[in-house]
Amino acid sequence: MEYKKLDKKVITSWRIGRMVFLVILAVLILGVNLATRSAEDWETYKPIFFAVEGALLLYALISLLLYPVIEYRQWGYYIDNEKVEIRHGIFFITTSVIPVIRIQHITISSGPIYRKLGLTKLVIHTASDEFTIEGLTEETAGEISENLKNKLIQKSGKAGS
Amino acid sequence: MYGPKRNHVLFLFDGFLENFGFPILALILLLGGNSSDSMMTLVIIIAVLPIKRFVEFMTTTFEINETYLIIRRGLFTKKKTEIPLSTITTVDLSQDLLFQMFKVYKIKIDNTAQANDAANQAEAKLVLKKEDALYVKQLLLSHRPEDLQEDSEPAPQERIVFDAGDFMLLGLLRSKIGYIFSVLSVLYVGGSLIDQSVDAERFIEDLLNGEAVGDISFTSAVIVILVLYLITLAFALLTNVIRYHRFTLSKKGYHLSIEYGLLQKKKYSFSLDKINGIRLKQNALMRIFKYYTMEVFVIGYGDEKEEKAQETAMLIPIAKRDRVENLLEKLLPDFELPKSLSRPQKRALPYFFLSFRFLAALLLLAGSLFTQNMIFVAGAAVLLALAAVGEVLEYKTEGLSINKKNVAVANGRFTYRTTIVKTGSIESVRCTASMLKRKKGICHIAFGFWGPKMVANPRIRNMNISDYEALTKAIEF
Repeated sequence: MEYKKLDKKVITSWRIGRMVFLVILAVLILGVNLATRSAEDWETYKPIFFAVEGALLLYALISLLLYPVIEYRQWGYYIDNEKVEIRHGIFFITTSVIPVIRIQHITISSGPIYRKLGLTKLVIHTASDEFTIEGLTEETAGEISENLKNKLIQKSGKAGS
Repeated sequence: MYGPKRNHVLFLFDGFLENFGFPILALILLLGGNSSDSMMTLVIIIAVLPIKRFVEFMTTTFEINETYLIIRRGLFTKKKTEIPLSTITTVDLSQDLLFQMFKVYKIKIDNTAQANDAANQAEAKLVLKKEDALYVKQLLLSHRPEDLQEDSEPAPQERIVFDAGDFMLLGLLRSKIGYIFSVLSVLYVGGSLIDQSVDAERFIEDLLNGEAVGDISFTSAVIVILVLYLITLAFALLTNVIRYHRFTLSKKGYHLSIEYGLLQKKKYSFSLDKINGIRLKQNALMRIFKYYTMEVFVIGYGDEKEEKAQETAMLIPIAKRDRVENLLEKLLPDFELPKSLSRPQKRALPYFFLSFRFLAALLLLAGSLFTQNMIFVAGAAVLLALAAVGEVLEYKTEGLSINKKNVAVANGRFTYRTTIVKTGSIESVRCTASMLKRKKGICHIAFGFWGPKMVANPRIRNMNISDYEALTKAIEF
């Protein structure tokens, strides 16, 4: 069984999202430093502050540069007549198996970054949960959605007969 | 077939204490004071609340035709809700003291939409005279196939009544204060015996003589705790006995009903096919005495606030394993207790300590060492010890059983739970692990099943990947 990969542009979209997070974090850190600089004990606690802030910034930087590449490598999905299998994660990898017959409905959506890059997100809903396949081209998402709907109709037909 | 009709006039007083109790109490308290502004605000609130209820009463009508229950409500924004009779899962009758006096019932209707976010839209409550209530209930359930209808058979095939003794036992074993008290006593006595500065022999002698141990009068402390404990326990027992008075389970054909309550009478009924799962629970004390409590997962069942929060409700208040098995066989033959469970491997034990709880306790202890305050350090050490015991207990209690009929998941730290669902109701299976853990054949397993949201995704940690594979093979595709 070979997993299908997401569109490569998804790496860019993740990076843009994380860049926004990094900028917000940097502004917050700057604000906190400016606000607390005049405090009495600033000199005492400065090293602790800088260490924590530095660690946060480093984490945000790594998640911007490195994580999208790892995440892209781990991401994969597989669809056959019976099930949808999704694998994703960075360090902790989750594999989900969803029987086609359990799918209630499918939604396709895209935010501003995804729209700009021509990507979409496909969400598979069951009665108890929902499962997302990210970073698909509009064409692929449409194909998967149609394909799953047809399979579901066939399966429901068989189950009903 | 029925209606359009309004609710009975007692609808105005449904949940009277809940809605008006606090404002009225506040008003009474303020009458003694001089705060006229606050009093005016409360008077306005108390005056406006009944108006809102009155408008709701005047503008809400309902009717039942052959296929739908139609509810129309709203003064300015008119809203019409149509609930297909075929989707109705439960029709519950209940009475509080006031309703009992006037022979009026509150009918709570739930349908399958409870499984998703449309839950509140589909839930309906009616207040009717007894004869109307029974007729409406019959109509609402008339769409079921004949073999599913509650009244299709003249008398219950099974009728099980739990008496006051059962609920006193339940109150005794489930009393949290009793549990804390036992743990504290053990810790205190155990701690004192370990502490070299306290002579154990002297301690016991002092204890028997009722003399002070150290600076604290141990006897008086024990008496205060004991009296408090006994009062709380008596109150808990009494509440339990009143609340679950004559808890009766009856099975008629394919229907199960549960009745209980002295002051607030409740009656729930649902067809067996609507039960998505069951859960056995045991706290530490119950484990010692080998007693179980069993809950069912039925969408829409559970009227009490704490039950609603979890959308689960009690089916067997308290029983030993053989009685649980016996009752399951009689009442819910689709479910059976697991004979054996697949357990985590020994090499999975270290991974249990990689939990947020344990790591946070470890960090707290490290942090407390910097403060050099012995009380903080001791507190953090106790927390860490509890977290460690919890992780070991979880490792010991976890297990999974898979067969064609049921999937059972056992887990829990200090409270042991076994969740049993129908294999056919499983909708998804997940396995989460790092690469290293996967190589060792270990992963967290979670699965989703069609059931109330709060319980629909059970998860067990650090199980064998082979169990995940077995589960994926067992589910229906």
